[in-house]
Amino acid sequence: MREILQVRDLEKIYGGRGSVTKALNGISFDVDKGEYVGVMGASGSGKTTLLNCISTIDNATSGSIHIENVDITTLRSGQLSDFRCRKLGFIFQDYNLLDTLTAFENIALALTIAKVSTRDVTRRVRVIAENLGIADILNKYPIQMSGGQRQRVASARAIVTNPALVLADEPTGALDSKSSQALLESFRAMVKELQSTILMVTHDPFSASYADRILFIRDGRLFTELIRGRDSRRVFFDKIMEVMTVLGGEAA
Amino acid sequence: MNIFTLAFRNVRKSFRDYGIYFLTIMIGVALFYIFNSLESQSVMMDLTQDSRLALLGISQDMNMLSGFVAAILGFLIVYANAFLIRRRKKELGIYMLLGMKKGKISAVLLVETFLVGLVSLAIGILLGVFLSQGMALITAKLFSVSVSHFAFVFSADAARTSVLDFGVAFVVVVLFNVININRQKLLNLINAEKRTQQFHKIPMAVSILLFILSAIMLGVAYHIMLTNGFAGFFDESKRVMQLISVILGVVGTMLFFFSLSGFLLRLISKIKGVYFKGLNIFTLKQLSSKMHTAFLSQTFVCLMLFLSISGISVGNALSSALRDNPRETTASIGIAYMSFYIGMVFLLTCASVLAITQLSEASDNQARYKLLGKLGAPAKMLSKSLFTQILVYFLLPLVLAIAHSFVGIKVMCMLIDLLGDLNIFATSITAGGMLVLLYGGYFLVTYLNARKMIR
Repeated sequence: MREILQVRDLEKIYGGRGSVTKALNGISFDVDKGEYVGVMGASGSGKTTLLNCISTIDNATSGSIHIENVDITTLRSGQLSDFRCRKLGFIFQDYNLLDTLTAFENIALALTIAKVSTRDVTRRVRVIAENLGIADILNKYPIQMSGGQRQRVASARAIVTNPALVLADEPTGALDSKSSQALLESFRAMVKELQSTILMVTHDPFSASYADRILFIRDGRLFTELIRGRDSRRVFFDKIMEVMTVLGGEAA
Repeated sequence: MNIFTLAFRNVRKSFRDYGIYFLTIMIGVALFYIFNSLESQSVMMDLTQDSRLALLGISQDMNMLSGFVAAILGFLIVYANAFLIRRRKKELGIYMLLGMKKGKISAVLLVETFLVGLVSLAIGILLGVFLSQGMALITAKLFSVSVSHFAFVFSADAARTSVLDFGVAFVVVVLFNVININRQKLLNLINAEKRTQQFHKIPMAVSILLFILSAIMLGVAYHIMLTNGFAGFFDESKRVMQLISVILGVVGTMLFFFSLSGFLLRLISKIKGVYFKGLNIFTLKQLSSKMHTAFLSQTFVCLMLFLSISGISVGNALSSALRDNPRETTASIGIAYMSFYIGMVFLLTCASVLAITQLSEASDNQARYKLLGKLGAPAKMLSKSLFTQILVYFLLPLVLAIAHSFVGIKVMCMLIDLLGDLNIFATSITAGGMLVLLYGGYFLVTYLNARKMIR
């Protein structure tokens, strides 16, 4: 399989003179195309910093991050925003939809920012909405939707541009268990049917159990890795719980 | 940390937010000073006894007018201050959370108001003193006398009046802040940023209907004015018609801004080539979601601009018509000054009201721009969207105000034509120049400040 993401010896050091914090301490891993990878670790383990560096929102101190063979640590800020809208899709914990825009417009905006031809916009939004089961709420405003619907609109926005990599930050964090489950099912569908590649940061072992592979991070390093293989979700969930126990009580 | 250091730091830190506040008070004070120091400026001129008396009369008129001007500028200061406080709700909430007493918070704000007031007053008066030297030369020219002993004049009287009148405005600001702080609940302050707004969408048909209605109202108002206009000044019976036309004009203006957003937006959103380009979806929705609430301030700004444009140009034209007649010199100068003074104050008022609403808008929307940036919208695209939004807010009332002024000036010309020859278009250019300078300047400052906010 082709590698979409290659992280090598990534370091991120906060602060200077006197008080230095190593948020990332030489972490390396790969993600292949069509893979659904979960990242777990306690608060302060460095997983958010990792996500921010891959998102190009934060700069790494040293090391490299290749996305589709482009080293994003060498891009300048003008190239970065262009890279973000073409190659990356974002899903945030608090949805981050624009409340002045309808679902349709929220999704379309990702395309128009990427300067997709105006003729294709409507069609592409409809196709994605159909896939994620939100075709009937396209004319609603975020305030008129449930949390689960909002997060699915946000997911549609993230993948409508066919990004190389979708970055999800605690996507189920604000959802009830039923909506969480529905969302995670649609993530699986995104990977299976649309060949999306997803990197998802989460606290929640239930959400993580939907992934193909889990990276556990501690003190800015890769602590261990779990691969689902042929395990059922149930079995994978138990394995995740075991690692979390080893990682330490509140490891979540 | 004591109150003074805290206040001092706050002012220094939020210097950018205070920018428009500073600018407005400064220009206001400078204008105020210039027109209150007319009399003192005369010492350097070789005026005849008659001219001296005439100038005294004019300056007394100006002083009377200044009461009115002070009230308007005072309102502006209170308005600008309310914006600053709103923007700092979270910060004030944190003071309270840390256990600072409401009385002490009010004290900090008092010191801040005092600091800002003092600096802007001082700079304003300084600016006024310099500009009033130029004003003296103009006055001398208008009276056709020479300036024999040019001296740097400082009018203590004018300075005292400025300090006194603006001091009152600052006291009102302090009172307003104390009341505002005492009414606030901690929870509201902490959560100040987390409000989501509800949408009140007006059906397309209704907004089209209202738009047509507003166009008809304005058309009728213009028609009545143009056919009946000046008769109303002499003929009691026509005065009712004139009143009707004014009311139609005001209501029509209001409806125009109220319906325009819904109408125009739907129209543009039908043109896919425009709608699906860059951040246009966002920009248009931003505009339309605020227009329903912004229509009152747009109406206010439009009417103020109208009074300002037609006031300055008609005043100037009238004054130059009278100038040919030596016996009317005093009236001519008086009218020119008065129209200029009032016109500038109105212009200043609407420019700063717009600036303040747009800046508070931009600051409320910071999270949205941040999100767009994360989604990959380049800084240039964001700036363009912001520019378009602010431009629309500044331009819309101006366009309608120019249409109003066109009718207003025409009607006034019919009236003044009785008195003498008029060259209204030459003087309209003066008004236009002032407009471009002050209004355009405010637009630019607003845009630049707002752009810094969203980065």
